[in-house]
Amino acid sequence: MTLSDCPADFSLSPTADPSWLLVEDGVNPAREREIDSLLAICNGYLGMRASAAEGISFSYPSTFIAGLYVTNGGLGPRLAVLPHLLCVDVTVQGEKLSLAAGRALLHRRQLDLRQGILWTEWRQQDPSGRITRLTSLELTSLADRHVMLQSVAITAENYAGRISLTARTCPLDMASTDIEQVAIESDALLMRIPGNEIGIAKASEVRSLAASFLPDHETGPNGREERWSWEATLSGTIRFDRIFTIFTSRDVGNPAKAARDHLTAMGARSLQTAAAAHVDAWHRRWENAEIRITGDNEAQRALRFAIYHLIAAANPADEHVSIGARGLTGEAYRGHIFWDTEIFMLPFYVFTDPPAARALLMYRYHTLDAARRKAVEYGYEGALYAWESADSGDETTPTRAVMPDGRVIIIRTGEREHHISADVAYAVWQYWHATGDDAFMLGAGAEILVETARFWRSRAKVGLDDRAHIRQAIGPDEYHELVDDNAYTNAMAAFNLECAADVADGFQRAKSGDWQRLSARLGLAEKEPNSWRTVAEALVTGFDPATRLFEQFAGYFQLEEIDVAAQRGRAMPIDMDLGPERVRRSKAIKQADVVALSALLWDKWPVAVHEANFRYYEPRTAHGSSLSPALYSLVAAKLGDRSLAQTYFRQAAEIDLSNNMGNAAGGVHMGALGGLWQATVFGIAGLSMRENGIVLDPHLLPGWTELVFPLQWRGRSLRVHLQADPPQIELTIKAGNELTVAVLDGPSCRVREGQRVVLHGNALGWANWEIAQ
Amino acid sequence: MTSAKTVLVPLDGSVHSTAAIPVARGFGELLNAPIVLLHVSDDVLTTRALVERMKLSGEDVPGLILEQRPGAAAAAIVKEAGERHSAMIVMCPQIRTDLRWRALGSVAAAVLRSSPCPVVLVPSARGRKRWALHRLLIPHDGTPTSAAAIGPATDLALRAAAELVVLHVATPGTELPTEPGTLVSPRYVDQPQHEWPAWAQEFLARLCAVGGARARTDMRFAVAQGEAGAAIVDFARQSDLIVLGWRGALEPGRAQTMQRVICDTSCPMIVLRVDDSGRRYWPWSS
Repeated sequence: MTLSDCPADFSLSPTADPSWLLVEDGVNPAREREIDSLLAICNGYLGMRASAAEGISFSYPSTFIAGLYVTNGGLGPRLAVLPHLLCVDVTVQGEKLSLAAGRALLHRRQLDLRQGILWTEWRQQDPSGRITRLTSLELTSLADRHVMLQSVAITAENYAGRISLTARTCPLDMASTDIEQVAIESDALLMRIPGNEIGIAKASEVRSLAASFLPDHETGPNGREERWSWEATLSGTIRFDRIFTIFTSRDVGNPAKAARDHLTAMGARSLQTAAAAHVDAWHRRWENAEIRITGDNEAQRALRFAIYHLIAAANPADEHVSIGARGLTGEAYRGHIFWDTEIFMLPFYVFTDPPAARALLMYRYHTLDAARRKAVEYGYEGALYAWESADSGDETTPTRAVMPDGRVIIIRTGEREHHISADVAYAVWQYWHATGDDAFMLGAGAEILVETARFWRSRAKVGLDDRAHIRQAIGPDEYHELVDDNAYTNAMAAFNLECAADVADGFQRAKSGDWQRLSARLGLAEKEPNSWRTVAEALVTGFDPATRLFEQFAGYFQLEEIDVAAQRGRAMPIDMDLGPERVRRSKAIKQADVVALSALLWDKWPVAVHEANFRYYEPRTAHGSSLSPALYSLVAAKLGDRSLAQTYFRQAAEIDLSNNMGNAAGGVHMGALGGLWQATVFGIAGLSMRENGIVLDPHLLPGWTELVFPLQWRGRSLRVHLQADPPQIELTIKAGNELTVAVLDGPSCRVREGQRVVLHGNALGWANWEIAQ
Repeated sequence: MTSAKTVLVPLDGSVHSTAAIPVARGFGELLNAPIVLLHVSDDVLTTRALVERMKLSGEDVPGLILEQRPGAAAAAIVKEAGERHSAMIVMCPQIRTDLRWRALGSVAAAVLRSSPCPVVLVPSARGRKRWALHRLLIPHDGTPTSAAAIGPATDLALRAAAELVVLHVATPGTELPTEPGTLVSPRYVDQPQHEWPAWAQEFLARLCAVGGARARTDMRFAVAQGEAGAAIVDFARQSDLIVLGWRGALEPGRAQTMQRVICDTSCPMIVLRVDDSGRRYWPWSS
């Protein structure tokens, strides 16, 4: 019997196409914490790890709420750990139903990526031979982010007897959580953590699907626990439904009352109605985000997994939170926000859900004062964003770390990894360029660009060579710290400076009044943008026109060559295997650094420059960061090296899905998931933006026969359909104004709303665009 | 709780073999098990002669059971352990050749191969000092097979209210282990200040889950770099017992870490033989 056959009558069932389901059969003690992360159900506000409701001793059950941090010790803020809220105990004839007692005939968890639902089936034969089946759905609503639903159907398969169900809102032992106190207030549960409160209201119901039914019911102390018991009939099914509403003191003044009021406002809406709204919300979101690949099931699965977690991580309605390195799926990285968000995740939202992208950038706007404070602290002007940011935007990077072998190492990234400011500016520009959201730019984005440009102007120093230098910095390659003129940092700083100047000039011309008011507020002198251009032009990038190579930093080319490729199969990362000092003296690099420039600023240099740098740096990259493989896939695809692009695509896809040494136990790698989307859309499809439209340059990977994806671009809703053999590009404007679509170095055409255009190709090149009916 | 039957101590008549007695006494108290001293010899000996043959002093004898059995030493020891349902055999593993101590004598090696219960190897260098269990050291290579030792180790730690230190030795230049489910160093270290603590937490959690660790054990995780044997010997200086999972191979080139440790440490080592499934019944476990 499959879940869809069971008599649970959820009005919903798992998506029929198994490629939408991430399935875990059985309980795996070694991997259980990882499974908790991979199957987590999140909605950008709430995140709940997929720990089994019946409780499994070796999992890490927990719930997270975006923006809710606690500070402990000298380590600064970390995402608060709240209890798993969906604990359910079932007893049969007085014996607790447990995986440890009797035999599990079936235990299956399925994350339904399409519907954002965690389905669980558990058939347990107890030591007396009674078989009880539990089927359940759990979700955090994408339609109403303060709502969480749980429904459990309990079937006495081969017996009649007394069953009791105990549902807890918080476990008896909360030592592993940050909850200090639990009370009842405004007829709701109020949990206190240091500095914040969480109000939880719930409505529960137990009912029979067959006939009138009146179970015994009692409520435990403080309303934290409810118990129902009944005489189960042979093969009879009882369903237990719970609706939760959750608010925090971040959201409202009285979270308990808000939770209760919200639950009351839901009124007669049943769990089915709320669940249907959630499923609708997911369907709408997938409509704007689904990437369909024909010919490579593994790639398809990896992209669906990536997109599911990206959708689940964002909340367009809250511009005071951002997405941590592990989203809301685990407590690793303390919920801190890195460049991962702007450089690796944000493009997905820019092109599939612009309001979510805008909210993420507004978080950087609201934390601009903290960035200003950091700049002042280090003697600079403008705004220097925190390398690790949490609720306030202040720097939260630990300054020391104890390594597993007991060594204490100094962490300098908080002090010296400054490219984060340019990364945020790049993201502001990318969002604005892709959406044309002038209101955002005038209201927030321009201020970020101005303040980050001011930072770079003060950070760069003119040397005896009359060139501007950025010394003692850390680039993305963190194996080499405190280097001078890191190519990535300097080129991104130059981009930041030029971009800020362009925006200033552009708005000065186009919206003079608005710009004057902003300038007055920021104390921006008329000539200041020119000073940014001067610094940008003077910045050293390490580029050698003769070799077409960027030197990753001053002195890099003089370092020792070591065989990085030979190290890739080793049991330890290269800096542990060879030692950090040896690696520092070598050309081995941690992740895409110069190659990241190719990925971000492709149009700035000729293809031959990208080719030369990729071929130089690729063999020297150890990929010690999970962010690295996707960018190499992206650039390899743009260079037409489909085989290497596929190798790196697969490596990126496996980061969470291939049980990579428990890396995912503390949460999924959000940056790598965003990188996978970029590798597909920017690399394999070759999407780039122009002033009046988009350009495509497809390089479908070996085995891929079709690639289809939707896009949001400047208010237009597009659908791109690429075919490998014979080559074909098809573009449809589903909504929005006319635009130009072109193939790189090939023909272009104007497309109007509702039109579908097709471009056929062959071995010799592309023909002309045709308007299809 | 299953009560242990006996702690069996084979004594070959050498002074150095009596180093096993204080450790056996400690385990006897811990497991509430009587201690049986066994000498294997075809000679017919009176009790007094047996005491002398075993190189025992008058203060050694109280509370102990003395037995003599004929036959080949290893076979007799293993047979006795089986018949007495021994919780463990505690013995000195070394023999002295003309020139130097050998890590593992032929009798100890044969006992290890055939023993129906765990074997505690007590280096003669520890002498006759009183022994109590305050800290256990469990070296672990990340494989599920060796994780099987964690269950009995936590059981002993709880009985003794002792601390358990899990030691993972990262040896540069080694290839990734091939055993499925092995936890090694993280492939990606995005930010060391976050990745390593998360990895250490997961390593310990995975180890405990796979190995069936007892809850509430006072457990600490440590990582050392370098050659495994040397690192274990180094950490063992602060420990009272090394707990080693062993797959049963002693051929040349195998079990090198174990032999290196036996040779260079004065810390007793309990060898828990692990079968292919990675699980084993330990006589003292509840």
